[in-house]
Amino acid sequence: MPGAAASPRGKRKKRSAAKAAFVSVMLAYPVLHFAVTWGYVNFNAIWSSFTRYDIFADGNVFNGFLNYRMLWNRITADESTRTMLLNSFLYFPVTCFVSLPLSVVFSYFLFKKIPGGGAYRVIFYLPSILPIAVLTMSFRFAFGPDGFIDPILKAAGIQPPLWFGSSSLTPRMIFAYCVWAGLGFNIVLLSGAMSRVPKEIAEYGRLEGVGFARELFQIMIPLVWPTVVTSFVLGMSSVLTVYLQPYFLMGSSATAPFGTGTISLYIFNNYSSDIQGPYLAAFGLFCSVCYVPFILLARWFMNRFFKDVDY
Amino acid sequence: MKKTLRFLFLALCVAVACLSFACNPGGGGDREGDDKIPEQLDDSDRSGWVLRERETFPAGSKLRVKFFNGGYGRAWIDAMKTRFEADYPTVEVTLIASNQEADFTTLLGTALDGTPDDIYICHNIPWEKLAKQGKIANLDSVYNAEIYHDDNTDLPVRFLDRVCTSSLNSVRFEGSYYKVPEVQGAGGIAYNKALFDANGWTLPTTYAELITLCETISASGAKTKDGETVYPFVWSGTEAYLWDSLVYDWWVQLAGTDEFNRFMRFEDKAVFNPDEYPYLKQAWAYWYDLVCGRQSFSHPQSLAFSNLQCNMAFAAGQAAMMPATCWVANEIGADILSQFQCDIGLASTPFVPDAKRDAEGKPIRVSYDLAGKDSIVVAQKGKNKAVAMEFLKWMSEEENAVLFPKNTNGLLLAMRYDFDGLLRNVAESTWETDMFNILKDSTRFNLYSSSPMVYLAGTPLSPYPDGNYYGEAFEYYGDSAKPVRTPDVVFDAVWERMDRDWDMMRAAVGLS
Repeated sequence: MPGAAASPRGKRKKRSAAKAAFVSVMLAYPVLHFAVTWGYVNFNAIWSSFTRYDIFADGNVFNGFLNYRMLWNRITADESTRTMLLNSFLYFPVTCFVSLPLSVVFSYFLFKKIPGGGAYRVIFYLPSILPIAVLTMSFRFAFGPDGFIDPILKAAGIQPPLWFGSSSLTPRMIFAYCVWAGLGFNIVLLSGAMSRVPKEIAEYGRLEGVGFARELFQIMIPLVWPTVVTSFVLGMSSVLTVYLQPYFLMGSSATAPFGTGTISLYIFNNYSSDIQGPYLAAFGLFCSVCYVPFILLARWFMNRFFKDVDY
Repeated sequence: MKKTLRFLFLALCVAVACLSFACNPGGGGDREGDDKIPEQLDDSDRSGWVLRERETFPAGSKLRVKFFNGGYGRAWIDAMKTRFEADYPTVEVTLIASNQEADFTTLLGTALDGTPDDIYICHNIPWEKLAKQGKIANLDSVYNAEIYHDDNTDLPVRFLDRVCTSSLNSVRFEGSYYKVPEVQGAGGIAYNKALFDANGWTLPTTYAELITLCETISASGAKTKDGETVYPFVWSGTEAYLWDSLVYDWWVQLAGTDEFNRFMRFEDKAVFNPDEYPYLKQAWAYWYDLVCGRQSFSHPQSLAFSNLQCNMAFAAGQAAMMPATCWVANEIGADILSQFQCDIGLASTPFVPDAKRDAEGKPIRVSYDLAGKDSIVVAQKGKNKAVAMEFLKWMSEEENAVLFPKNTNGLLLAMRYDFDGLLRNVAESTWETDMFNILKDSTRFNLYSSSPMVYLAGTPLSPYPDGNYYGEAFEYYGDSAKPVRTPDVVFDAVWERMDRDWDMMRAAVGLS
């Protein structure tokens, strides 16, 4: 009958079709984004690591495991490649066992509203919002004959070392920079997590006579543990991702002198066209495959320490 | 979870297998003779040269030139634009400056697919690949075009005859021309002329004189105005490769250009065997003896200096000499040099005792052209290809080519200049005079290689496949706790690796 209202069943069908369309449209972009930026990129990297680029064929040609064999030869026989891998790996303890604990302590002090806490918050976070090129330059120029550190040391009767010209000291200077510049990001994350801890808990602790150290280690850290785990895992991934810090601190040198090279910096410095892609893809994948299990293991291990607490 | 992982692994294996069968096995291509230098006209007498008739273009014609705005600055291309527009009133030239190297290296292939600019000027352009893909124009017609007619000999002076001879090994792919080399320039030792004049030091012509000069400078107790000690050398630990300017010169002095070219073809692993091919090791040993064995010759901060800090220390007079590239004077900048009242010059690399000699018994002067990787290419899909080709021809004309050195402090386009004319009419500074003299008197070479192990390789082969070790050798010298980096150790290690990996490295680029 014309003009008659649709049956309840038809209405339901229509509504569920509209719902399906809505959900599909809303999911289309993220799924497409995931497929392209994760699926395609990763598949392409895996595939190309088994190829070589051939300009005569104008494309990638299957090469079997040759890139991996060459890589293995480099790792086993070339001292500089091993130094680079070791140096990359050292970013793990530096980030997770130096930078992160410091961030936790500083965040706690800020949480405790120490005098001038607001100013410290800005000071800590400032390096995170300045361009890395400016920050690295100001760090580097603080040392050396024209900086302000050397004259202070000289005045104290200490002969300053070659801060950025020694294979024993220079990598440590870069670690020091990473700790200094990386605090802000962690502090913002951890301060945010600590500020959500109910005041009543802290007040209760105070009434019970809980001291600073006990409050930090037995109350605050367990309560913000998920954030600590996230920061720890992010810190672990720096082994595979750090490159701009050594690059800029070493004057944009393409050779990463004094053992300052890292896995990503090697890839960054050596990629100039599709021709280098396959070998570097093999290199990156090899490092990821070897290292990612450690990250997963560390996350699993850390998640066993404290149970999630809702508050 | 286990099932999902198993499925993903299987899917990956299947995908790899399918793609491997789907792929073209590749290989092939003929680059035989691409690095051979074609015969060029003798241009020592240019008195009979008559300029060609230039092409004309309809009103409203355009030309877009994208260039890397780096060490050579942009004054030269601005001057060329002005003059080209005056010579071709119907053409409007647009210059697009970029200081992003990636625009020319990794991104250029994509840009050439779309709506490209007409000419691209930069270093490290992967021109062989772009040529194979048909993305850059074949320039055979440009290279064969007559730029002048020599009325004295009744011979054409082609574009090919105008290009700097030593750069012609790097312009052909599978027998055709695809790029024009941009720049030529010599490396050597930059010296502070003001210091040399004030202290009565003279430029060394031999290795022994260089050692003596360094000892004299060290013993002189010379100080800067600020009371800083003047050292013989300053160099940058982060850019220690600049010592190549001297080491490569010594290598070619010892080996001669034929043996150097044999090495750079990388046809045989034996070139890495120091017992069979000793020249590079010998050259490196000269450097080791001069720099590592005599550490007091170097400014004590050298290892820690970045390139910028090194240049500043040199300009401030803290060292009399510095290993140098052709762009150093530009890089330091006229303002800084005048601020420090520093006049710098370029000394050619002193002769080592066993340098090859000419028929008259004189050692042969050679010069490493570091700028050999710079390219000018024309986009195949460019809308104004004919104008672009004409621009290249126009650029090779003598009066236009001279715009480059007039605006770059001693650097030259990779064209064959009348150096006497340049010395008379263009050279104003010590640096320019020295540079033109060295280029005039030396046999030049560059590091371009047409070997597939360079342009096809994931890790391109170079004379130092494991790095040049300059910084490490200097740092570790005499320290028993550190690894040994003597010439024997460095070159034996290189040979050991090349001997072991050679076949794999060849297979990796599709060579059997």
